[in-house]
Amino acid sequence: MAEKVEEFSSRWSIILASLGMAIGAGNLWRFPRIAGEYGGTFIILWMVFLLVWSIPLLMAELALGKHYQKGTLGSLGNLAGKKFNWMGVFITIVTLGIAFYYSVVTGWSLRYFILNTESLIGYLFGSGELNTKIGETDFMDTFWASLSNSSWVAVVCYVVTILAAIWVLSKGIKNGLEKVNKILIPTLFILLMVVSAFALNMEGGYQGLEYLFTIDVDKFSNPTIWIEAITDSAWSTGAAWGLMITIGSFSNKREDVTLNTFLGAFGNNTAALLAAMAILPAVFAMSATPEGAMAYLHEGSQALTFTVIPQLFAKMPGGPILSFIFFGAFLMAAFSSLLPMMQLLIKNLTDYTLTRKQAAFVAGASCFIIGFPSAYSLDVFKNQDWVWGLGLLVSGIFLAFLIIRYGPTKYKKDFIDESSDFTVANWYFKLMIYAIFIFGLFLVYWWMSQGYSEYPWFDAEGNWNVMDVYSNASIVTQWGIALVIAIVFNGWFYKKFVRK
Amino acid sequence: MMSTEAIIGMVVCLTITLGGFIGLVIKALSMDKKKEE
Repeated sequence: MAEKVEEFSSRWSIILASLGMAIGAGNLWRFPRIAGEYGGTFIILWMVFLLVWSIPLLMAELALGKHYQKGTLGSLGNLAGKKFNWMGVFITIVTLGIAFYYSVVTGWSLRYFILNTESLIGYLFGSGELNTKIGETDFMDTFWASLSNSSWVAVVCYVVTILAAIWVLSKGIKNGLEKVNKILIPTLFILLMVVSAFALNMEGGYQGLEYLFTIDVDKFSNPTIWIEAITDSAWSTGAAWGLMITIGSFSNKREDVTLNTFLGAFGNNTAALLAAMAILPAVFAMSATPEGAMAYLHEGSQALTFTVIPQLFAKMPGGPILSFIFFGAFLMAAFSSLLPMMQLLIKNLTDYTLTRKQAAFVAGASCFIIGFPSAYSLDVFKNQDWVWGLGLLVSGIFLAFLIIRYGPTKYKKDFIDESSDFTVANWYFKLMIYAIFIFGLFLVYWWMSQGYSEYPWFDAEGNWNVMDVYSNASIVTQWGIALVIAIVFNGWFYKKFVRK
Repeated sequence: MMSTEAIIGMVVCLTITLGGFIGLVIKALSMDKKKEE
């Protein structure tokens, strides 16, 4: 028997869901790092690219899901037609590739939250010995190294987060996702504001803001800042992930598209700025020199969050309280992003023939099995992050291509403007979709040409360098497998998810 | 103390981002009210 079609109860539930989807680990570990390095110049460009890359794609996705009331396979397949249905399959595979390793990040954040809870209890009611240890460089380095490599603790933590996600999502949209987001998202904003207020009151904290907000006009001529800005916007807002299609599929036909998309996108950027206003002042206040602070920022996203920040917080008065709040916010951000990723798979499975509970179980089991190598090996995790992170840019290109094929102005009229409270100009949408297609091609080329691997294609012996974490050979091979699956089973996917 | 350039940058960035977000929330609330009426 078919289950009753579920819907979000109001506009605000859709906005909270899109905020939960977009505000994730990237807002708290990548954005502050990049923003601190390039300052206000980067932030201005990042805001511009929100309008160029993210908002047009997010609008297109939300409208598509709302129109067809199907998951990514069904909605994109309807838009693409049988000939290009494989593009929708590829987009779905890319996002699932992210979901599988992202559950590991959520597991790590749970472990750090537990560590900081123990530290806080010791600080308030005991000797505070754990907090003293966290403040030592070696302790956190060893803790992170042991957690991220061959650690059964990491596996247990990520299993717990998957089980929690299944439990929430098996309850459905109104009783599960909607209720959890109503608690998680406002709490996340409040926690970020608290950390920010703490950090800004630290001596020397203002130096972080100095780096964050100084707009150096000369830096506009640096192409790297432009590329970092568009890439961060693409990765952070969840544009072209298909997640907004999933959210849209649970949206009432009368619900607005344009205003809701703008609200979600601007809310995501506000959260990212708040995170930067919390992290950068803390890093600068606790470093001996600004150069020392910059060196911390250059250590990379995972090191900054999982080794540097706990050490810095541990050394300041009241640090364990702040660290507890920060990792509470981090856990909430990561978990609220994991939910829609798993919901994407659940929606596609229920579009097929499964009941919601069966689909939730299959989604959880898939996450566990396919995500396991990323939980057990940091190198596998880094590889998956790189391969599918770049894959998102390809998803953006494919989505833009499908809209161009349909006709951007017609697409906007048929899907986006159906019931929008306000509409954007036709020329804006059309121009941006063409720009996304061109920028997307350039960005994929740029990132693959950065030489993060010593042997991008072939190793020293001339073998295809597929096992290297950051090699182009690994990227192309895994994308190739995804494309082969999408193309070989194109007809089957079309029959089962579109025609049905 | 923060430099004048940084203060100007902060005002510009926060006005666009946070101001934009609050403006959109107000717009959404007013649209909801209109629909109810």
